[in-house]
Formats: sequence, C-alpha cells, structure tokens
Amino acid sequence: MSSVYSLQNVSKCLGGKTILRSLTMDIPEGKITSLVGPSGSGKSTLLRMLNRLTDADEGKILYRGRDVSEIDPLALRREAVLIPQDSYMFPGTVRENILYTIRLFSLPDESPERYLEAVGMPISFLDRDAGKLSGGERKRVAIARSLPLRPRVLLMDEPTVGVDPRNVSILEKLVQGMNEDGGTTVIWVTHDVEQALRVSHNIANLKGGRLMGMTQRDDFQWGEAF
Amino acid sequence: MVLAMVSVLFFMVVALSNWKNLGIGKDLGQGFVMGGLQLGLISVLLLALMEWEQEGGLWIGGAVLMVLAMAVISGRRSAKRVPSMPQAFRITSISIAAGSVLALMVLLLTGAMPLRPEFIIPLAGMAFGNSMDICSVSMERIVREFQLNRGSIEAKLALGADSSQAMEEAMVISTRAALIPTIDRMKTLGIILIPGAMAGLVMAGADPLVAAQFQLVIFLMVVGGGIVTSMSALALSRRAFFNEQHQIRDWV
Repeated sequence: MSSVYSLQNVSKCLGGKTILRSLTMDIPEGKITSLVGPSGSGKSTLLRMLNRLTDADEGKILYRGRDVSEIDPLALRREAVLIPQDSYMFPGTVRENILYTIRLFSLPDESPERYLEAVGMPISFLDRDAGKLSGGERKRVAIARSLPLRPRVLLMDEPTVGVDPRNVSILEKLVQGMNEDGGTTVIWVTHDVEQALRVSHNIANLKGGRLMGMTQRDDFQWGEAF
Repeated sequence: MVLAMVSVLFFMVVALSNWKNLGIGKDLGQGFVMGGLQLGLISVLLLALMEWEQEGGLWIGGAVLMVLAMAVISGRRSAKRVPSMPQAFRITSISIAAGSVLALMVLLLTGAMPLRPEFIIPLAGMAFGNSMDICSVSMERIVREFQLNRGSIEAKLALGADSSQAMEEAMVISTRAALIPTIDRMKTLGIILIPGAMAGLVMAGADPLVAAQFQLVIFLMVVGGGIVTSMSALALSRRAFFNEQHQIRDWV
C-alpha cells in the first residue's frame, strides 16, 4: 500500500519545548488514520506540519514520495486541507464562507448549494450568519468550505470537540463517506480512542512527542492506549 | 511675554494633575520642555533656511536634510508603538516618508505649495506628523488583529490562501481604523473644528476664504499622505508577519 505521508526522524521544538521527538511513520493513502494521544502529545503540531503551516526542525516529511520542503506550500495546502480544531468562520453568511474558497482561486463552479448539501446541511443555512452557528454546524461548514478544492487529503484536528452527540455521529459518517466514496485520505486527530476505533482504518498512538505504536484498527490493543 | 502668560496655563494643568494624582505631571513637564526646545530649534533652522534662500544659497539641500530627519524621528516614534515587531523602524520610516513626500510633491507640482522654505518646512511638518499618527495606529491595529484573529488568518492559510490574501481583511480593518479620526475631523471642519493652519492665517490677517481653501488643501494632503503611509506600512509589514513559506512567524 502506498503512503501519502512518510515521516523520517521528524522533530519539532516550540518555545524551547520539544513537541515531537524523532518521529518515523508511514501514513497510508486512501485510508482514515487516527492520531490518538493525550493533550500535549504533539498531534496538532504534527497535523500543522503535514500541510506546512509550520516546518519540522529536523528530519524529513515526504508527501506522495516528495519532500514537502520542495513542494510549494500553497499548492500542498490546497491538496491537503487542514480543518482546524476551532473552525473559525469568516465574517458573513455561510454562503460567503463557501464562496471565499471559490473566489480565492477563481474556481469556475459558483454554486455553494452543492457543497452545503454534500455536508448534509439544508440550503436554508446558506444565508445564516456563520458566526452564530453551533460547534457541529461550524465544523461542517469548514468542511464544505474546503470541498471546492477537491482535497486529496483532509487533516482534521479534533473535529468533534465541543460538538453534541448527534452532530458527532453526522460528522463521523460524513468523513467516512468522503473516504469511501471519494477516496479522500483522512488524518484524524483525536484524544478519544473509542472514536478512533469507530472511524479509522489505522491508529497511531502518540505520547510525549513519540510514536508509541501504529496498528490497524482490528489489531488495536487497549493496553496500547495512552 | 506671550510664552510667560501661557506658562500659567501649563502650571495650572500640572497643579490639577498633582491634586487629582493623575500621575502625568512628570510627562507633562518633559513634554512641555521638549516641545518648547524642539519648536525653538525648528524656528532657528527655518530662519537660517529663509536667509539662505534670500542670499541665493542652496537652501533645498538643507530642506532635504530636515525632511530626512523628520522621516527618521517620526519612524522611530511610530515603531515604538509595536516594540515586538522585527524591523518595525525600517517599515515605519519608509512608509511615513513615502506618504508624506508623495503628498508634498503633489502640492508642489500643482502649485498649491510654492518652492520656498517658509512653506515647505511647516507643510512637511504637518504631513510627517499626521502620517506618523496614522502609521502608529495602523501598525498597532494590525498587530492586534493578528493577535485576536490569528485563528481566522491561519484558517485562510490552511485553505491555500497566500499571506497577502490571508491578511487582506486585517489590512482593511487597520487602514480604516487609522483614517477614521482624520476623516471625522474633515467632516466637522468649520463646524466644531477650525484647525491650526486656518486659524493661524486668519489671525495673521489673511482672507478667511483663502485660509479655508488652504486648510482644505492641507487636509487633502493629510488624508492622501495618510492612506499611502498606512497602505505602505501594512504591505511592508507582511514580511514581518509571515516567512517565505507563508507561515506566521513565531513572534506574532
């Protein structure tokens, strides 16, 4: 199976503190891989490094076989889209949020309706103030906002934190559907091991900036959890 | 004599500050002494330039040196408002100089400002002073926008926006915030506010209509120079906020 990302001895320090220590792992293409671990284990920093919002201090990250430092960061971010933990809505309506991406790259398809429908939200939401949406709705709009880019990889940082149980289920099914139907590779950061077991094919266990193990879901041992 | 009488006002303010424990007495004193010395110095320099002009000397060289000094001093003052930003002095001094010199050149080329030291130096002082204020607010505001809305800016970067696109909204907010006080002052011209230049000309016996026209020209110079200053400062600050990989720098 080919890897979408290969990490080779990747280390990262922030503010004098070591966040990731000599991390080596392969993340398979076309699958959902969960990065699990306690707070401060380096999961979010790793995700930010995968689409070059920040760079590694040491080591190498390969994206589809190419060193990310040799790839235009803007091109990489359009292919491997990061959905941040706090899904910041841009000022304006849901429509304007989705149109932001379409207009940013002068994409030909100016129909935000289809992207909203793709994330299971009714069209009536288009003219709502994006700033007044619930946590789960914000996450879905953040995903809808990335869809015009047709991302090959979705990097999701704790997508269900602060989301009510009904919306958690909707979000999980939505992302699983994007993976199964569209072949989108998903890297899903979570501290919830049960969720990782529900949604992902592979689980990587991070602790103190180190990779404690990476297994397929069916081989996961609870003793491996942090 | 006039200065001695006006000093009574100053001592009243200091007494009031001490009485109410406002803690600004020392700053007021320093400001009064510094301001007085600086005004004295500029008067002596202006006098020298005017004499130099009458003698047919190369007074323009002296004027250029004074304008350069204004750029350095106003740039330093403005940069102090954003002490955490790297290369702030370079950004503020270049931007203030660009806005002010451009506005002065327009006045000169349209004939609104004669090429004489008694016009150039005071008008340059107004242009640089106002551009400095506008630059300070712009810089302070853009740093605050980054601190308050870093998540939103990073969300745009995460979608593949480049650094200019990601900070565009913050730039618009900062420019507006910096220019609104000047635009508000322009709206109240003549009703609430009779600014210094017009007041001075009227008191010196000029026709109020001519003084009003001159004041309007000065305001346009301030607004025009201010917009150029603000936009230049914000555009130049992009490299201070982002590295070449369109990543937000650590100091932000």
